[in-house]
Amino acid sequence: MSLLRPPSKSLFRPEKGIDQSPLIEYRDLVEKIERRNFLKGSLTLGALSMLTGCDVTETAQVQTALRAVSTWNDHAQELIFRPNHLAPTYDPSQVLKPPRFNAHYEVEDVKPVDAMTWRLELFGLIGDKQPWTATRMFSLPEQTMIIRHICIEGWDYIGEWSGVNLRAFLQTVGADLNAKYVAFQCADGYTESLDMATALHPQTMLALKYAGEVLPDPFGYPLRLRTATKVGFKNAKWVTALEVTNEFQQTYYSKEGFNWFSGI
Amino acid sequence: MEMHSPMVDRKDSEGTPLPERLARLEGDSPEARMSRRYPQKIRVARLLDAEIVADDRKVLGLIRQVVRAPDGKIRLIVAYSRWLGLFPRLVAVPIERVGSLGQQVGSIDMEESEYIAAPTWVEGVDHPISPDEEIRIALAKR
Repeated sequence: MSLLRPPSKSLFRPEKGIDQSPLIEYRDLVEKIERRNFLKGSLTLGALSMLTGCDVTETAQVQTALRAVSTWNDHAQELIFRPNHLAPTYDPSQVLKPPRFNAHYEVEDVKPVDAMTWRLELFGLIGDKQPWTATRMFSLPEQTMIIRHICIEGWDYIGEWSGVNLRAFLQTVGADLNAKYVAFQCADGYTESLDMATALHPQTMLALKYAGEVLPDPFGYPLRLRTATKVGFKNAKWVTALEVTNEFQQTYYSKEGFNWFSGI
Repeated sequence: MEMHSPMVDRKDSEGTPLPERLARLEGDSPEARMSRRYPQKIRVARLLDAEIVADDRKVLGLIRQVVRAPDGKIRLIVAYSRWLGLFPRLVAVPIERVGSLGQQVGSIDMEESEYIAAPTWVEGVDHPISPDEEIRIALAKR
């Protein structure tokens, strides 16, 4: 008797095999997810089929279900976020110079911001909404932190950032620290927002310098957001406006389907 | 007391304001393209043994040396290997044709076919640059 035999038939194996047509039909959609190549593999028929009750050929249904999971994920992350737990910090010898450039466009397309005319405008639940000049921002007490920048694409580096602690800034301008969100607008049209707990975290700042030098243009000069508790794309560059609000506003990447909370 | 205002009058290493320099270097020469990619200061030591990668993320080789040619141009001396790091040979890659990708260096304007076709670099007229010296490298994105 042969010791070799074909594998037992699984009780869960479809009679006629797995239907490949949705994968073929949505091939273009899958290939568009450029920022997360590693996720291409996860967007398989099997993953889609986990959406119980959904017809995987109905894009709207699939998107709604995926967004529901993403929203649940945001809530779960908010729930487990520890407002005073510090992210690891590193030695100055580990700082990467120059840092790695990232944006949703090529470096050649970066439009430098003129700091002489730049203003940080304030909106929403803030007592003193007078715009801030760059000179005034640079005059505020400076905080420095050496933290790891983690990109959702899978790369990371250790960077040294200096600037104004966001909690201290919000207190200075008389912001309502009980509000839900702090939203940011940027010179290139990018938008981002933080939950208030992250905004008040000791390692969240309005960064003005990298490795002891004024931010280079491609890294957000004159002012960018830098927080140790979020993935890279949450750290908006070339910030021009800040709003304290209780209204959730979709951001550049949350509109694209990325997790809004995106904690580390 | 005059307040320190570092955002005013920023200039590049040549002392030329950035917008003027960009306008001056309009065109499609490697130098012009590098200039548009916001060259940043980097210590030569950081480049030594760094991987140089193609657009498809394939590692083309490791940077073994950084040299200045008699015409003043900077070249990265790359131990290029066609197959899995085996049988490497040294190829000179102009600094204008690469960009920093953080820990790696991207071969953004030099295809692998050009590495294959390039002559093997030999020591001689080029002058090694000290690991402590700072040079400029463009930024790149993947």
